[in-house]
Formats: sequence, C-alpha cells, structure tokens
Amino acid sequence: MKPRAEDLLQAALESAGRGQGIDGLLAGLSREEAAELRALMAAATAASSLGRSDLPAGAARRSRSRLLRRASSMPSAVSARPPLRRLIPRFSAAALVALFALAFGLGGLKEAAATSLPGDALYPVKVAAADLRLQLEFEAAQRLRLESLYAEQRLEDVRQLLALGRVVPVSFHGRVLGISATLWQVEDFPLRVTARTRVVGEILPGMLIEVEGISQADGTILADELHLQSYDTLGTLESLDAEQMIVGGRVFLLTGRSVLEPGLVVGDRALLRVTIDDSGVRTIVSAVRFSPPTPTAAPVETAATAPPRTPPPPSTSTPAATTTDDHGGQGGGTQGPGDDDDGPSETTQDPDDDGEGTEKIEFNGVVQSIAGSQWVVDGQTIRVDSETEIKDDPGVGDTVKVVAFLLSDGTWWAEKIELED
Amino acid sequence: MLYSLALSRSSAALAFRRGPLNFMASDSEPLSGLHQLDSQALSSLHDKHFPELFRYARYRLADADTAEDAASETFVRLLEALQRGGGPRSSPRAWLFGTLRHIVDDHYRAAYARGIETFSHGPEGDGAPDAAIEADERQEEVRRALRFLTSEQQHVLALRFGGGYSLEQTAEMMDRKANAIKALQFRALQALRRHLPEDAG
Repeated sequence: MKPRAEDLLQAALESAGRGQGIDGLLAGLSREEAAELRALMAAATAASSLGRSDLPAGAARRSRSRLLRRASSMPSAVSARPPLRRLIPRFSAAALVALFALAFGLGGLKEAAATSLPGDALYPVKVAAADLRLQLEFEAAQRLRLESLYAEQRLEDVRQLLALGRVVPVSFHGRVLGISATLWQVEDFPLRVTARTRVVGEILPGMLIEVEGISQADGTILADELHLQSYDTLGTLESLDAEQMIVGGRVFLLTGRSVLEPGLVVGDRALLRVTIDDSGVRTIVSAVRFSPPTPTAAPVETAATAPPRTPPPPSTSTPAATTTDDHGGQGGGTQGPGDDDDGPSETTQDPDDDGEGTEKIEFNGVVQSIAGSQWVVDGQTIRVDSETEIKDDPGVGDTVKVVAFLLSDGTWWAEKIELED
Repeated sequence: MLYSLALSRSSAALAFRRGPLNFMASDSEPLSGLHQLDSQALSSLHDKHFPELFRYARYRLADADTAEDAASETFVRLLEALQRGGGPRSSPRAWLFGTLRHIVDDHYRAAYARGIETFSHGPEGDGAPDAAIEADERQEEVRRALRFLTSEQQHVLALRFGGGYSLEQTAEMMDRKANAIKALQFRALQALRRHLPEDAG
C-alpha cells in the first residue's frame, strides 16, 4: 500500500534528523511526488531556521520574582467561583436564607429585585438568586432550560441598561455575530474592543462568549475581557468512557454536568457543545446523535444544542442547500477536518457527500483583511483552516473568488479562495 | 535565498537533529502544592518550565523582551486559574503551553487591531556582520510567513521545529493523537511553503 504523504514527510524528517539523506524515500515516488516532498523538506528547513534561542540573563529570575510577588498578594484559599460571580459580593448566612426565599418566589424582595439592572443595589441579589436556583436544580435538562432562561434575562438587562445610557460594569454571555478590528457585535450589542481588551480563546463569529466590560452612554460596551465560552462541533464518536470521549481525533473531558443523549455509541455522528478553558482543555456540555436535517424533518435542536444562527450571506452570494459538515470547532484551525486525522473518512470528506441543509456560497469580492485564520472578503468574515484551498496567494486588496460553507456553529468556512484576474 | 531543498546531509542533520529534550522525561509533577499557591511548588514549576516556554514564545515572536513577557505572563495566568479553582488537571506542561499559545495569539491579535507591524528590525547595520544580517532577514521571512498559518499550525511548528519535541510528545501536549499531529504538521509545512518567498535572497 502506498504510504500517505504525511507519513512520507515524517519518515523524511526522521531520516534527516539522523543525518541521512532522503534519496531512498524519493526513489519510489513519481517526479511530482518527489518534488512535493523536497519542497516540504525545504519548508521544514526554513521552520527549523528560527532555531532555539538562549534564555536572556536574569529572565528566569525576573519572572519567578513576578510570580511569587503576585502569589503572595493572593489569598491562599482556593476559590472556585465562576467568572460571572465576580460581580457578586459575598453574603452572610442570613442573606443566603433571604436569597433562598427569593429564589423560590417567597418574600417581597422578588418584584423589587426583578426589575433591577446592573449597577443597582439589588442587582447582585437578583443574579445571586438565579444562581442559587440553578445550584439547587439537579435535573440536567431543567438546569439547561434555567441556564438559558437566565442568560436571556441577563441580555435583556443589558439591553435596558444601554437604552438608559448608564455607565456601569456588565457581564453576560452571548453569541458573536461579527468581528472587526475595533468593533464586535455580540448578540445585538456593539462591543468596542481596544488594545487593553483581553481576549481569551480563539473567538470567531457564531461562538458563545462571556463578555465583561462597561456599558457606555453611546449605547456601546467597552470590552474589558472576552472569554470563549462554548462552541458546537460535529464529528464521529471514536471512543467513550466515564471520563472522556474522543471525537474526530480530539479528546473531550466529561464531567458530572455533561449531558449525553442516551444510546450514543461509538461510530455515531455526534453534535457536541463544548466549553474550553484558558489552556484549551475542552469539556463536553452536551453530546447528541446527529442526523442531517431532511426537507420534512426539523433541524436538530435540543435544550442542550441551541439552533445555530445564520449570518446574512453577502449580497452577491447564491445560497444553495448542499451539505452538512465537520468543520465546526474552535477557531484558528483548531478543529479543522484535516487536523482530525486518524482515518480518511474524517480527513478527506467531501462536504457534498453528506446530506443537505447547510448553505454553500460562491462569490467574488475584495480581501479586506487577513488575520490569521480569519479573512474578511467584501465585509463577510470567513474562516480559513488547513483544509482550505488557497490558490495563487491572494493578499489584502486582491479580488478573489470564494467558495464557502455555513457551519453548524454559524460561521462560514472557506473551502476555496482563488485569486481572480 | 531560495528555500528549495538545500539539504545536504550535514545541514539536514543540523536542522533536524533535535531529539526529545531530556526534561520531557517526566511530567508527573505533584499538583497539590500548586492549588495552595505554595511558593516552593510554584518556584519549582516555574524554574522547570520557564526556559522551554521562553523558547516557544521566542520562536513565534520576533522580540526577545516580548517573548520573556509572554512566558512570564503564562505563570500569572496559572495563578489566576488556580485562584479560580482551575488550572492543570493532569499535565502542567500541556496546560502551560496551551495558555502560552493563546497569549501569543492575543499579542498578534492586539497588534493587528492597533495596526502595528510586529516584526523585529534585526541587527543594526553598523558593525553587524553581513552573515548575521542575512540570517536575521531570513528569520524575518519565516516569521512573516508563519503569520499566514492558522494558530494551530504555528503551534505545531513551534513545538516540533522550535522546541524539538517528538511527534508523541507534541501529541500529548496538544491533546491529540500522533497521527493527527503528523497530518497537521504536513499541512502546516504545505502552508508555510506557500507563503515563503521563492527567491528571497
């Protein structure tokens, strides 16, 4: 059996690492294949040319001092408070009792707190009551419904706040609908992103994020911190045990809060909702068996998997139902199909092979920006990964032809970008 | 210079003969002291991993000071995560490299938002040997080309060709299978080749 190109490359790298030539490997290849391997080895030489750098004198000491200074200024007790609760003060036992009553609709505070907004004295009570209600809900599906309900309430609070023009700290979860260099759209809120904004995770349109910032009188939010919260992805379930599942070659952790569809078995196509922490550890929120939508069937939608939003295609687009896909996942190529390689079915899948219901667009436009895996062509943000075919090295300002697919997470993934004459 | 294959046996060996680093032998460090923010545990973890984190950051960033800041910031993020009850669950190295990767990505994202060019100016002309200037220019070309790759592609090249980690070690650090890393490496080099100038010198 003919070895795969990536195996040949690895063999060539190992051979070169041993100080041996690659002539033996080239012998069995066609002229084109040999040329390709030589070119890749040249690229590897270039990649190696950056080499390793010596540690500057005193760097480790400076960093250690900074670390220990910072550690000494922190309380030693470990807190497991999730980020949204940073805005909430600690409460006494008596206050907790009051909250408990509030959470279940007892007492006169409920109405007063219910109308409060961020910045109001009673707002922390409102948030804490909702949080307590969640903590006391042990049934997974009901818990997900409550989380969804409270998240929508937080968004409504922010809407009212912006309408009033108040300037106060806000924190909420929302879906990214658009990204430009300085202005993002999260739900229906314009977010001003500056050099001081801390962005954690590779956030792309369609993903759910946590926003911390300050509402502005002009109706915008000045973003302080943006955290990738979750994204949806699709793949074949390769293994499943009590602690983790492997889908598309990637490991996802399972916790007591992960919701799995009963009967989900190895070999199933699974639609996952995944959270990701600062270090890139992925944890399953929910996993359901995926069935491509048919003209008569409703799209896959459960309490655990909200329907993906569809950004408006470019005006020049010609949407056509063609396919579902495997390209969901964290941005920056982290879940590109080509990266999932452990079998040809996942790595070489033709999107047109897999049912219908997802849009494909083809359009010509001018490249307005290229930022890593994110291109903007005629105002349309498009994700590019290792599987995207990019022809003739187009750059900013060039006119290109784009073929892209709408993914389950609401983002557009470019299958092909080609420089137009 | 031309990046067509100039692989004499000696240069190839020089470029790729970077076996597994000896500090990869064991990553089974006790985590208990970390969660108590114990200064001895933190110092030990810091001293063990700071050099390799710096090398990773330096591979991806043009400036040594920025690389030092990024490596140092990684440990501050670790503190913050531990404070929240998070942090590494098993392999501190994988956690640290994953976090550093995001810090470097954020650096480029912020620089892009500010419209700042993020490449170094290289050795100044006065007194710098021609060879040093040429080598620096070549490195800039490679770094410039790297910026066109996805974050994950840059990550895998930095680990494999900057850090010298084996396929298996890289897979462990990226929480992937070795075959997936092999494919990712292949595509990363394909992309790098596309973006390298053909007659840069």
